[in-house]
Amino acid sequence: MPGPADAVEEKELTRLAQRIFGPADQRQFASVSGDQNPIHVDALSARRTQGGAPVVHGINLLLWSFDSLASALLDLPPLRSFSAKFSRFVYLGEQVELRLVQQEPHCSRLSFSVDNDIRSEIAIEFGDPERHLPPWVDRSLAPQSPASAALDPSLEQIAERGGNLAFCMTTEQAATLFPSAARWLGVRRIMSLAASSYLVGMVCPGLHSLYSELSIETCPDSDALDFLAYRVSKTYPRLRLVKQEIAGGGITGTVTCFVRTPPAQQATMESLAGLVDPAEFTGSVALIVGGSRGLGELTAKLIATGGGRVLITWQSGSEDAERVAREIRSAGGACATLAYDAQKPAEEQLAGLAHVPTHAYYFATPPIFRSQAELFSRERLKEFLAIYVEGFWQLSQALRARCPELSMFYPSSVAVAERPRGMTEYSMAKAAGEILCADMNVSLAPMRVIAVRLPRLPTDQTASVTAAKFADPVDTMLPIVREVQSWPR
Amino acid sequence: MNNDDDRLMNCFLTIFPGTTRDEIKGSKFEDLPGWDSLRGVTLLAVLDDEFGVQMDMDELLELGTFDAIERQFARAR
Repeated sequence: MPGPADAVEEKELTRLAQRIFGPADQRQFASVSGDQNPIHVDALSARRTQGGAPVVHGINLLLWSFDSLASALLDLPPLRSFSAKFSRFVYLGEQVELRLVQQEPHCSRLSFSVDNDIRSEIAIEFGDPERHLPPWVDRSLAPQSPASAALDPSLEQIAERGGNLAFCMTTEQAATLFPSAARWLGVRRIMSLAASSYLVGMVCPGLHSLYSELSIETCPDSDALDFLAYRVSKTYPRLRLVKQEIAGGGITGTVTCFVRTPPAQQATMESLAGLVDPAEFTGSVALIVGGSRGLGELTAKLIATGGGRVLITWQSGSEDAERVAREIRSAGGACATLAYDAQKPAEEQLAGLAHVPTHAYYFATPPIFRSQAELFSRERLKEFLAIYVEGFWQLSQALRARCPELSMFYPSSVAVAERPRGMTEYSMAKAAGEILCADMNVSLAPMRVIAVRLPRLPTDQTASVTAAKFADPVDTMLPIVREVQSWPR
Repeated sequence: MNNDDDRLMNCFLTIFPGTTRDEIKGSKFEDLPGWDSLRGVTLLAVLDDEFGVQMDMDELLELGTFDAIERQFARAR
């Protein structure tokens, strides 16, 4: 049975490196690889993706892993092949730990994790290369120069894609950024792997891509290619999954990626016009916290369509809020915008209101879906409670002081009863919010709070890679808005 | 196990490397180490490649276990 000394040795053997990737790392890899996909480099756009915030390039993590491995184990045999699965996002600011899970003469396995939550795994085989250049590679095609904006082809267009991509990364950059990996693999393989990030993030599938897996064999025949050749080998439109073959710079293999569903678009003012009487909400002033997108945006449009004055708040997406306000005003509605942070005192932020809100809708939320190793995280619960309970309470008190007959909406969730996996803290916080609402209705009349357990609706928060079944947002929200607006009677 | 069952098991072992046959046979998909929706989709693609079967995620989760898929495939043969 291993004793404490063995445990220490084992720990030292398995932990290869730790690193926190910051914005500067992100910009640097985006620049040298050419992969400037917004999910990596644009915080505002990334918050509307499945990641919810900028995520580290999978290939940057992979190359860092190889560099760390080659730095720690100096006499590594030649690489024959490897496969990497990028299972879960790694976010900026998270401490990533690289572990050597298995080390044998002919193979190694690596994993990187955050707080013991495994985000990616890499399986490596050592040995002499055996693969030859695949016959589909067309050397006569001129390599395409790097694009500055991510392409956005349809799934049908993706199925026919192929070509040659010029390397964006230089030999000097490869040798400087990943020196140990470059000595082990050769700079051209580094450049080629970086080019696969550019391929997925910028070209095919491009804008709405997600790099999922990579299976590579070393291939000396392709070493002479100064570009990365690619062709889509199979698409699974039902699954939004794409497989591509790649070759160049000393490697050949298969890339598996997803075509993410684009950000959810809410109904337009024009489409709502026939659903609401133009005078239905006249005379009301509705404050909509989180009205710049998602259900908040839809609620604002429904009320404005009915003649109500709306004030939408935003925390980081002022451009989104202005876009919604412009659309409402263009349709003849009244809409103003306000910067508001649900974690800061409400009173100060509402001090300059031109109109006293008679109704309030509270859609403030932190990112809901985050991967974690343990069932329960105290910090996650605190994060949810701060917004779903404390922030709501603060706002209600600040508004009630101005309008005692205030009518408020609290969006709870079916998760409170259904308990989907990985949503323990979220469900707990929403349940606590429901209790607060119920007690407010008992003790704080004439104000009233309507709390409804919403089904899964298409918003940025619920975006998934694959097609998911959603309730209709207008059918769900319109009766709620009518109920909230009906108070005071 | 017949040949088709072996092919099915190999599909699972491809998607869940490091998992034993017994773990795969005895667990719900969602309890397998490393399960997440992306891995589920990748499993669907592998089943499509290997058997030409086109399932969606809801159908997969409704079946729930390797044994249930095995029975479903046996009925279809």
